[in-house]
Amino acid sequence: MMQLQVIFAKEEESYGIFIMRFNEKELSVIALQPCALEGKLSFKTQHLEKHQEDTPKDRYFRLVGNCLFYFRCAASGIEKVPLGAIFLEHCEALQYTDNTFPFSFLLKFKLDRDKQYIFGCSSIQSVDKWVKTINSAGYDQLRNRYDFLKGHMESKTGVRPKLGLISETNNQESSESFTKYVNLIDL
Amino acid sequence: MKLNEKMLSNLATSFLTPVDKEGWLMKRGEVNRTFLKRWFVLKGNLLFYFDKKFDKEPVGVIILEGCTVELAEEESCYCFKIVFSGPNTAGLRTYVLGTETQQEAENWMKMITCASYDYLKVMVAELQRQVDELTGHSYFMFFSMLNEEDELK
Repeated sequence: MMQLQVIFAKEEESYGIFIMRFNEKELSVIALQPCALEGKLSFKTQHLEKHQEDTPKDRYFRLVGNCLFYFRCAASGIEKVPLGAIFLEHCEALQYTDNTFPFSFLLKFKLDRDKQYIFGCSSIQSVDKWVKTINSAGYDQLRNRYDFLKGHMESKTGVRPKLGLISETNNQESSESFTKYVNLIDL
Repeated sequence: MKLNEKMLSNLATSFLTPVDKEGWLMKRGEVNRTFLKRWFVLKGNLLFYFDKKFDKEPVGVIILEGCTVELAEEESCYCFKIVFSGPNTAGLRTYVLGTETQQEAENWMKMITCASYDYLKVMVAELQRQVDELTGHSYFMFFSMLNEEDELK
């Protein structure tokens, strides 16, 4: 299991060293799964508190679920193991203008206001696509959509839908308009 | 691999996201096979674990994608495994976690099984299909559904 090290400044003068473990190897497998969007983008990281930014780099990005992976571009494609992963929760992507890239967008996070990312795309259409896809990638958003649909089903049929892994079965209790439901785990 | 670890660490204790489940679990080490007690917090597809209950920073996180949950064979506690697999399964980890009661183990197993983004996506697609069937027309975007919510109620 790999360990990461991040050094961050606290309000007083002292520094804290923060190491968080994660299942890196398993995450590398996820990075290669079917994705919502992928492509080559330039990007740079901005560290707002230090008024610093990293040099822009070209990377290959893949948005899988609520995680944006990036790979180094190799001669014949991309490297197999991602360089990094940006989890997309409570974040906002928006179109951005800057001297760095002709077509770009900004990615910022409610839960880490120090760091933001600027991405450069090949066209305004590409910017639009990435912004839209990133803004709908969060887990919480998907969960909200689930809750909404569930509530909607309930209001339409008067029956609380149960969903799970096993295949559909008929339920005699339910109303006429709701003739089958998927039954396993009561979520 | 680099993660946006500061954001994730803040996410673990933030009120912005709901806690799906939390509690003490015994976690078996990968190299050292002894069990260590950790405070686990499940939020979406992220299973954070802390040294102590009110710690601000998690010791680690298990990203719950591409895994299955099974019962484990340990005799000393009610244990279950989070098993990761993929096309090249060699070297992918299995996490062994233990609880004090059968019920707790079952509850955790249930929650972790339903935690992945992929799983939630399938459930949303299924619900969407059922809604479309009922109402006879499809909703194209979530945002338009939000606007129509008042009309339909």
